[in-house]
Amino acid sequence: MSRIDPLRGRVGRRELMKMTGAAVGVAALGDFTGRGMLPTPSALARQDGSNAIIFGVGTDVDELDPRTTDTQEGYIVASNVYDCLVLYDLGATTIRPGLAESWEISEDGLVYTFNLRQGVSFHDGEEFNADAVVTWYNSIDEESPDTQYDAVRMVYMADFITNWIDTVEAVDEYTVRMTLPSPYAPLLANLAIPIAGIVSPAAVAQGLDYVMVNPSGTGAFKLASPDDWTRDSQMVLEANPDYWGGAPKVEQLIVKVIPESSTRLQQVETGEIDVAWALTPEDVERTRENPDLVVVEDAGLNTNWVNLNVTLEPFTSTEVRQALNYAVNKEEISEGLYNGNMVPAGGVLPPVDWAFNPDLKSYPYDPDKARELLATAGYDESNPLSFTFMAYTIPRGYNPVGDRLATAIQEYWSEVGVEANIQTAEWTQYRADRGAGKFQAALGGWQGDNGDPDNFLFALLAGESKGAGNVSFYENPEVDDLLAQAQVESDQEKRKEIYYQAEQLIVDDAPCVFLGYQKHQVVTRANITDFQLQPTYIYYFAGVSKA
Amino acid sequence: MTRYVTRRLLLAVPVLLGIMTAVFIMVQLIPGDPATAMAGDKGSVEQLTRIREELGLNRSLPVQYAYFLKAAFTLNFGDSIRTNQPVAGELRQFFGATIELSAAALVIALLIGIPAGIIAATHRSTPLDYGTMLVALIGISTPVFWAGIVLIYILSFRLGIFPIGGIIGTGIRLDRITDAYVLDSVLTGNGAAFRSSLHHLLLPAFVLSTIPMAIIARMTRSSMLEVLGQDYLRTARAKGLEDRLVVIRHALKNALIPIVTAIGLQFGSLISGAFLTETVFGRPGLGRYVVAAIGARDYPAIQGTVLVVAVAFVMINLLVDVAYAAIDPRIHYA
Repeated sequence: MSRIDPLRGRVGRRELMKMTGAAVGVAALGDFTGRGMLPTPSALARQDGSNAIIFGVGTDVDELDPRTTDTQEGYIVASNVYDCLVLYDLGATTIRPGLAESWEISEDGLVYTFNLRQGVSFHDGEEFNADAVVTWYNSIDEESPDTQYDAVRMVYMADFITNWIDTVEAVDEYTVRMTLPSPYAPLLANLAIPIAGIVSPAAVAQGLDYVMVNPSGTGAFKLASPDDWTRDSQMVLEANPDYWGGAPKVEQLIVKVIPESSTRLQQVETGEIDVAWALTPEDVERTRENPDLVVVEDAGLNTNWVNLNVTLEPFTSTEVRQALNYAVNKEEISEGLYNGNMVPAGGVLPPVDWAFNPDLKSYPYDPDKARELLATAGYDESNPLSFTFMAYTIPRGYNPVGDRLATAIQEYWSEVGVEANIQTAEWTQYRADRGAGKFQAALGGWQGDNGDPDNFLFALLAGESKGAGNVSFYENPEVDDLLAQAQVESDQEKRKEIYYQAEQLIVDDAPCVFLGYQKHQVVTRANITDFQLQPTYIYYFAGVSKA
Repeated sequence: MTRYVTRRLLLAVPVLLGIMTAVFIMVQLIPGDPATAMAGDKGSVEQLTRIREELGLNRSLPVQYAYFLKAAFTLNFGDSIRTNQPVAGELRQFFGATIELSAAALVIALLIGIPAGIIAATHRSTPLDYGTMLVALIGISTPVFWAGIVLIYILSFRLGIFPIGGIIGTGIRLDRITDAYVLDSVLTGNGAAFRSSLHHLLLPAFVLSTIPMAIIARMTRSSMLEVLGQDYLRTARAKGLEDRLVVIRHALKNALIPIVTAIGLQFGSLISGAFLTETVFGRPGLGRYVVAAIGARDYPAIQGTVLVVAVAFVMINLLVDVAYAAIDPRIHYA
């Protein structure tokens, strides 16, 4: 077998050319990757010379119309490009004035009168006034002749807003009156959520397909041109210097899509991004020792639990349901699975909600009590309790570790002699099966939408919500009465009392195994100041600055 | 030849139809539907019913299939259920990005794989041969996403040689024509965008190229070995021709046919396999798009993507077959 042998001494012309070319190529490559020809990544980021906050997310925004957007990323951007009539206090679930400077609610709770802020314009130049609010409302109200309501695209609009309002009319240029068919206390909180952002009437007139890529609101940031949004890559938002709340402290807000948590972590560590959103708990822990980074955290407006289908055996028995609650060591789960980032739950409402009851009687870890209760229900070593335990696998906002939580719970239960057979399913299938009641026990959770306790207790545990949010199919007429009362009562203190009662009844009935509340954590560079967490997982960037 | 090509193109139609029908059935079999994907957590039962009605999901399967065929033939899949953007527009956007990544990966795979295979074949049974084939084996066995994460950690994070993912530097504006970023920056004369997008392309393209590179190297080696033993080569050497010319001009050309087949198949799998690379490196593309669509049960988007990828596959195979005729004059098509 012959071989090529360059050592034979004859270096042909072609060979010489090739070697020279290779040498030049290597030299160029060296310069290419070294200094000089290519600026370092962070310099590219600051190329415009403008002061920008780069916000790293895992999935792209779906659309820029607050009326139709469906993703958390979409809500975050909508909160900065649009304003609602009312907004949340920074870091809280209570309400402050937004586009409405003040408001009055009638005694019977049926009439809301909003006094609008004056001298405010939309990004496209239109004036903000009562007519603009009416035009906006007509576009989302199915009953209105000017409606653009689309059941597929405005999935939550009816449930949260238009079902609770009869008419919206302009009393004068800067006063709007809303009339309700019946009193509904959570409405004010609903008017602060991003889907209630007010869209410019000129944009509304162009239709849904226009607004979703050509947003026009009154917010602190705007999209200067549709080309500034590269799907699945990045979105560049410019500051609105005429913002009514004061011009933003930075010139640009750039939303960058980075699908992997570990990559987002690396980018915030090198400074390629300034704020890393939705990092896994392990990744968050890695940043604690880093002096360049800050973990901004708070108890989250969410809850984790195991739904027990109370209409099927074995969960028709209260003793069994309570036993499963006593059997789980929530403190240990929090330390072991979440590095202390899950706050153990007594009941349904997280501490950050204004109706949280610090004196709620619930189920401490007590495996002996659990065995006792199981024995009362007829289960012991000779007749072990066994059932299927459905678990989702993907990380969720309220539970970043997915099915590992289910495995941990399964182990605690097996220590008291309970056999839970874990069955996993893909997320959409999981929800479909769960909604249809085809399960015995299922891992679940909930992220609050508006900070109102009704959004947890009614949506998740009222008889009316069975098949929707109430996946335990739980129904207690006494609880339903209380929840209905609280819904129409305008006085917040009175509502709080009613919710205390309702929650205690629910916890006593144990339709679920209450687990814990995931901390809301965001990692930022140390030079980012005044970044606040809103419990509803949105962030107002107007007041955030970068040193 | 023209008749051959025309016939192949006509045959492609039933092939594509078969693929699309298979996907239609498979997607229907997946539990859940767009309505639960959209509103499952918080939607009331009435809401879900309403959404299903509006999306036409309540229609019987044969009716849905008929609408689906119409969409396929008119190439109009409507709007994505997830983003409400026309599917055709989104596909065009992401196709450019994915093709660019796949093409770059293929180029790297060829530039390294073919010479490696030749070297291994001409130095058969030496350490050089074993070494090259060992590296090839490692290349085929290493998962793309793992290699990507490790290389990002070493080369991007620690050493700062490459950017940590993304398709272009943050805040750099680029007018897009084909949505292949490097190409567009050349077409629009945008120097900053060119440097940035090329810089962002190198590492993911390399990572994506490792498997095709290894396969092409092994294919080249075995094909070359077969050809190198032929009599006509012994004649060429006896004539006094340099080894190098023997190898490149005579042997390689004849060894090319299996190699070209491998290239064709690899390019097809590159397009469909780009998802992992796109996710690890955070690049927009068809892979990420279709996986998000599947999660949301976004039927129009899924169908549109499958059609695009199937057509690409069919075209590439056709090109490969046509290339055979160019390489080997003995092959001609009636």
